[in-house]
Amino acid sequence: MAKLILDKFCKHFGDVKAVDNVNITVEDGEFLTLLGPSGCGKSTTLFAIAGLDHPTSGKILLDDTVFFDGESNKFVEPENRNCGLVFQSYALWPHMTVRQNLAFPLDIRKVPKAQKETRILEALSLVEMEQLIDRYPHELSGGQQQRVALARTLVYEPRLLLLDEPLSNLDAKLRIKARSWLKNLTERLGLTTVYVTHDQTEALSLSDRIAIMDKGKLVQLDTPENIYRHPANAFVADFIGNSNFISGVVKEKLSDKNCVVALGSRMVTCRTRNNVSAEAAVTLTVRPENVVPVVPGGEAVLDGMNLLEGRITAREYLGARFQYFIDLGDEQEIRVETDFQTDSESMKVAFRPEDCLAFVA
Amino acid sequence: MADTEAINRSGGGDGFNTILKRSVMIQYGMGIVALVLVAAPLAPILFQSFLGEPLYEDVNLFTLDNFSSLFSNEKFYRALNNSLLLAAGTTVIALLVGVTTSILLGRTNLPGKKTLGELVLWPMYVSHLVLAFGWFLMYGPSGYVTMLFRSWFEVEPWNLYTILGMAVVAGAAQAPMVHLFCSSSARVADASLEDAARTIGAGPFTVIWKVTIPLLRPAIIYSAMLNFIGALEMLSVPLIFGSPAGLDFFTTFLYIEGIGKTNPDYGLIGAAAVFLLALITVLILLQRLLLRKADRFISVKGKATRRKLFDLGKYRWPLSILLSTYFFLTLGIVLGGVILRSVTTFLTPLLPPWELFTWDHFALIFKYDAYTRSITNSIFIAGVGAAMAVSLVTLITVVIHRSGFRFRKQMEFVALYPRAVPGIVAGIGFFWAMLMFPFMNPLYGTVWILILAFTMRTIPTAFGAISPMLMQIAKDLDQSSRTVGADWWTTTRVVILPLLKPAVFGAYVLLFLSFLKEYASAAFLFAPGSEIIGTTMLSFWGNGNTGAVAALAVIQISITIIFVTLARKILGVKTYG
Repeated sequence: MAKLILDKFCKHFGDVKAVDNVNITVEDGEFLTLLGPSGCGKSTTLFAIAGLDHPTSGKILLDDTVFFDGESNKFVEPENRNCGLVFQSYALWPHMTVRQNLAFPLDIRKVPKAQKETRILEALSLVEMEQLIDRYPHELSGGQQQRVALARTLVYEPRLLLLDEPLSNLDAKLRIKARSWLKNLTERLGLTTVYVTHDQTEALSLSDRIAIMDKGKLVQLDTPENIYRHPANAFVADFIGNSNFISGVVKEKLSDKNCVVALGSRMVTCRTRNNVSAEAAVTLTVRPENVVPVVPGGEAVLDGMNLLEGRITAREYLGARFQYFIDLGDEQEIRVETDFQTDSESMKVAFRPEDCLAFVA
Repeated sequence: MADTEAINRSGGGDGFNTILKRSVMIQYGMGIVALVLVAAPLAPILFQSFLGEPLYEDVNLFTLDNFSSLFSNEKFYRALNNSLLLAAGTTVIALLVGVTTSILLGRTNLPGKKTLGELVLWPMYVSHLVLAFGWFLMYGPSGYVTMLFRSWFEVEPWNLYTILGMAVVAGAAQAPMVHLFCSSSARVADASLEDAARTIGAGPFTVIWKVTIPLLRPAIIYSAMLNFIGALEMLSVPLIFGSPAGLDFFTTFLYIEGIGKTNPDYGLIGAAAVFLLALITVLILLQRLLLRKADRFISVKGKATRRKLFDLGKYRWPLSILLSTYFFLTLGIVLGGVILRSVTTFLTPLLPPWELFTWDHFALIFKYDAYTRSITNSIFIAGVGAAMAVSLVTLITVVIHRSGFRFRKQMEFVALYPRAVPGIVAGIGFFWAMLMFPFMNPLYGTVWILILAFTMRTIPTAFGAISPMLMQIAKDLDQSSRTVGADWWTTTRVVILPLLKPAVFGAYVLLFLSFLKEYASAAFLFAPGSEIIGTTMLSFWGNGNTGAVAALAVIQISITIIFVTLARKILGVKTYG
């Protein structure tokens, strides 16, 4: 029972628009990630939801509770929003033990003593930390601190869980473990969650939906699959996953969604989102793993695929796969990721039109 | 169940409104207290400076006569001239000594620098009144050392009854401040800049002169201004050395006009005080301007790097002896003289001191209630008053740095403004405030008016001692407390204040010492019953009873030593870095 609505949310610092006109609805029980490079406004948005940042205009609602309304100038103080925010730094109070850290929010809510103890233990068992209840924060490892920070927000049953890059201070291995653990936990609790990160892998693996932000604007809001497959623009294509960028000119429109693009003298068929017109300069994006090398005798399966050929300028061994850099001429280059190994100087590659997107350059 | 409760809270019921009010009320309360405390002495002075009659009279007409009579007063120009000369001389001497000690003790392999490093800060613990008095006893015209010198060499030595002589006394007393600022600035300066100079072939002395000292420039500018202001508002040295020589200074002018005369010219005093305030305010603004520029030129990294010590080579021992001699002459002899004077009938090199030995001065102090009371009052004011002052300033500091209070920028200005208010001006101001505002009347003759005045004077000190630590406490810690449901005041009490404890204790030690030493502002405010050590010393001095002054000075120093030792042991506070 918690649906978060951001309506025309803006945060301006003078002329600088840190967040500009963002509309997001997070459904009850949904896990939504705000993803973007640093400075894109994602943390500002999260802090504004928590009430730690005063928006310039717009509206923030949780169900029918107004958190902020720029028009009536209503602003609910953070302590009255009942949100749970896990900080990037965890922000555990260093002078309190784990137990005291968890007890503080319950004391504020005047939870009776007997009930308090059970709730603390419950919350700690959720994060598997019961045995360290009497430790001080500095006696815990980073991963343990992160769990306690989460337990401290869960213990008072907030209506909304807000997570500010909670995994970024963990080392790579622990981060992957914590990720799946966090996914399980939020699914089990069914809490409406807003998660902020700049790490696309985290976003893709955890989220029900991802909101991609760039320079204070919401660029795309969709499921992880859709964002990966159908990025809204070149920025998203570049930010999520790896992409080749090749510039060309639209030669012919086949339909609203398909067109033929000329890369110099070669023609490529591809999809388009924006309604591009003929002769428009465009950027083609295609992911390296969607580009396949054409092996001798395999031409038969290439029906309808785009074909390109060029000289191999560099090759990298990535462990499981190889990456080749192929010079297409005219200062254009395409990267190919494949398990096919070759010593030859040139390579012929193919990709399906639906894996190739054209954006107006 | 708990969930619905929480939803009610976030819905904004009655409970939430009262909680909101509590925090805002405390913030406004602190803002008003700070404003009233700072304005209380300033408003009457400003008011009086434009009045033809004393401010307690019923008929009040606004006039500019006070300023015109001040500006046509020849004495005023002499006093201004002398004060500025003394301040300049003091600053130069304090800088020479302070920069030298900070480099020798902090950056070189000087032998015995640990012991000397302990000694260097001692003048800060001791009241300037006591230090000046000690100089008078030993180096004054009929001082012990002066007379010895005269009998050995049969020439007239130095004369402390000159501006230069006084600058030496004041400079030696203020040098530790320069030392402190320069040492802490040197600690964070980038060591690779010095190493770079070494690699291109500069010797250690060239590096010190060309790299180390220029890097200290912001600290030097900052402490130079503080020294200049400190010397301008200093009462002790001008009173002890200037008055006998007939030299007028700004502070002695105010002191004698205000206290010495049976029928003081209120308007003139008001105008003079306003002038002094304006002068120091301008200096502080100038200091900020200079520092803003200095910051651009000098790169100081926050990261401390391991520093190499300069090898002084063959100058190691000569420099160590030179520095030890300096401390012996300016500290050992001066304080030794005070102690010796307190247990002798009089001090003369002609007779061995044990033949003159007496406990009479101490007996005198413990015989009369008024004298004994000045000691207990001082201890009460320093012990309890400083604790109250620190509590107040701690809250003010938290409101300024960690709240959504609308006027916190203005509040910071108010909190720092007392830097521009000399002790003697604060004293006059609070005295007049009691005359002007009837509700302050009951404070007259109590220690509470002294505590108020001392608190007002030390807000910037305590603010400066607490702020750095407060700014080091991550904002996340209070923000997380807010999101889990605590309001600002609960957050302050449960999260911020416990973490701030070390800085608060440190500030308490600083304020205890300054409350114990303070005398200038008290001179106008004390009455029978509310004497303190400083005022009793001043009146003994006025009566020429130097033995009793010395005995009180020894008592004050003893209290200081006991307190500093206890503070280190119990509170774990290391005074002055």
